[in-house]
Amino acid sequence: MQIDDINTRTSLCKHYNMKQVCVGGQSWHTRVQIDGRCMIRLTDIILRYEAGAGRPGGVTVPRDRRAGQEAVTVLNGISLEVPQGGFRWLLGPSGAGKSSLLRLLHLAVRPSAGSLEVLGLDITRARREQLPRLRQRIGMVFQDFRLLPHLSAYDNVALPQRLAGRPEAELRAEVTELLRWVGLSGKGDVSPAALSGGEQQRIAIARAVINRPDLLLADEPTGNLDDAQAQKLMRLLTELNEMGTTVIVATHNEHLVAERPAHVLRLEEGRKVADG
Amino acid sequence: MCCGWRRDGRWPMAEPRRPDELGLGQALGERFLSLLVAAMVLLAALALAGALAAGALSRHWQDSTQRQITVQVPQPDAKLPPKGGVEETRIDRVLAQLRNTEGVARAQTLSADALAGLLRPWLGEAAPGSLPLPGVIQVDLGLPPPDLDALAGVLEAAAPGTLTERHDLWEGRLRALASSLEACAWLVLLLVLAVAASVVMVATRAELAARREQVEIVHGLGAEDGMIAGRFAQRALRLAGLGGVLGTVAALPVLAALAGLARPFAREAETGSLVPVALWFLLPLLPVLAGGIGWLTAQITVRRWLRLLP
Repeated sequence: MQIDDINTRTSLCKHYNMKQVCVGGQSWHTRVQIDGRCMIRLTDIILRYEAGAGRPGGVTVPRDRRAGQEAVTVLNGISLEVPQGGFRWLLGPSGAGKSSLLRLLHLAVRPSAGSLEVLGLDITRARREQLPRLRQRIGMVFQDFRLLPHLSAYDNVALPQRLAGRPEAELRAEVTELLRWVGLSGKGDVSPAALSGGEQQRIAIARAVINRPDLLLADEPTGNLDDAQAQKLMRLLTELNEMGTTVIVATHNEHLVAERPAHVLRLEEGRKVADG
Repeated sequence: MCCGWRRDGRWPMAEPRRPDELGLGQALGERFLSLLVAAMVLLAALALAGALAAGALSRHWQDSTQRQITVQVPQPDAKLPPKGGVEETRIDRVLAQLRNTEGVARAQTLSADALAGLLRPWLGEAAPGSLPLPGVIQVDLGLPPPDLDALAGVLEAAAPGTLTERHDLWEGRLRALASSLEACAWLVLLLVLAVAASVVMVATRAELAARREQVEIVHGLGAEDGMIAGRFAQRALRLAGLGGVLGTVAALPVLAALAGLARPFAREAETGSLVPVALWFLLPLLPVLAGGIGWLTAQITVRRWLRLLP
């Protein structure tokens, strides 16, 4: 165990209000009781993008497809379950539907058919007003970071807490702690544009975990990182998972998968071809 | 609210600030929206003034025509057979009859000069004395007014040929004219307000299109529709309210100039001013109304747009 790992875990413990002193990773308390409950359940999910609908929030369908006005099926008959505290690698070639599956789990789109249950809520039947609260329990790390460029790094990290109505006075210590956790202490007042790709990715990670999410989704989180940064990021995701957060990571990077063996979901052309 | 980065790319952390999640403080076109709303409010102020003035004029005409009649006495200076031993002219007898009638507040003979003045537009400077003119009595009625049909009969009996001219016909025409003007002005006011709402809606949609990614990110992080719509609505309230103030201030000299132009008519109509007093109380409400329209329009526009998100 390296010093920075210990520091990292200590910071995480503080963030998650762990009662036991964490040293050397030997005595982790999980933040939530892992009881094997199903965190995610998909049954015969079909996701189809209607071409040319021009709806905000919808995936932009390539122009040549729009011209034909054909619906595009990106997920076809997906069924799977992920238990609480589970870790899943989501693999597959480009266009296999990995990002669409993550968008579905992040409640950015609703399924065209099938049944979707996330954090105990049946999304296919849920009222729209129920979804914001649920989204606050889901952390998402995007490949392109999706930071708000007009906000400082500090405000980007604090944003989920502000949206959840957390008093401003309680924010500073926690955000500062998380910035230190991702190795960016002292850069809280910097614009994302002034940060490197790796630093922006770490801001995005801090933003994704500040609400202590029950479910953490990551879409190619190491795509913009060098090997060392990618390793560090994976350690962070692993630690979050060990503390009880369910984690799903979509990646092309087979080396990462080899270094952190876990349950693998493999998609090809919108269909699940492996689960185990 | 801070609205830009410092040159060194750092936020002024020491300054208390409220986060602007959607970056609306950096939006372009703020001045454009305020100026458009200012123009709308200027037009609304003019329409409002027109509506109130037309209404006041209508009421004035209605009151004055209902309160006045004109009596024409042919051969006014001809002597009538003595009545009760007193010899009098035809016009004196009609005048006496009028003054003894209950419900008549005032009866006054138009002087020869006043009559000549009324005829001058038609006769020019030709001496009216060369024409056989009737005597004209202007009668102000009190409340309650007398039975005008009965009064006409009494006057006719007092001096045969006397004509009592009621203003009913003119009253109807003037009231219709003034009411039409008033209705047109209110319609213009409604149209202006609708256009102002449309301007805010188009601006809000343009802003939504420009900030779509930010809105989707914030929505994805768990923001509720009310929070996002509230941010846009607050901005629309501020910009439309500012436009309202500018438009109202710009309307003041225009209204003052119009009031100056209309002063002769106002004097004739004995109203003092054609700009009703109520306008000066309603004008300050226009910026509030503009801000309210901006806030409500932005709320509706953004919430409808957000309904398209899951």
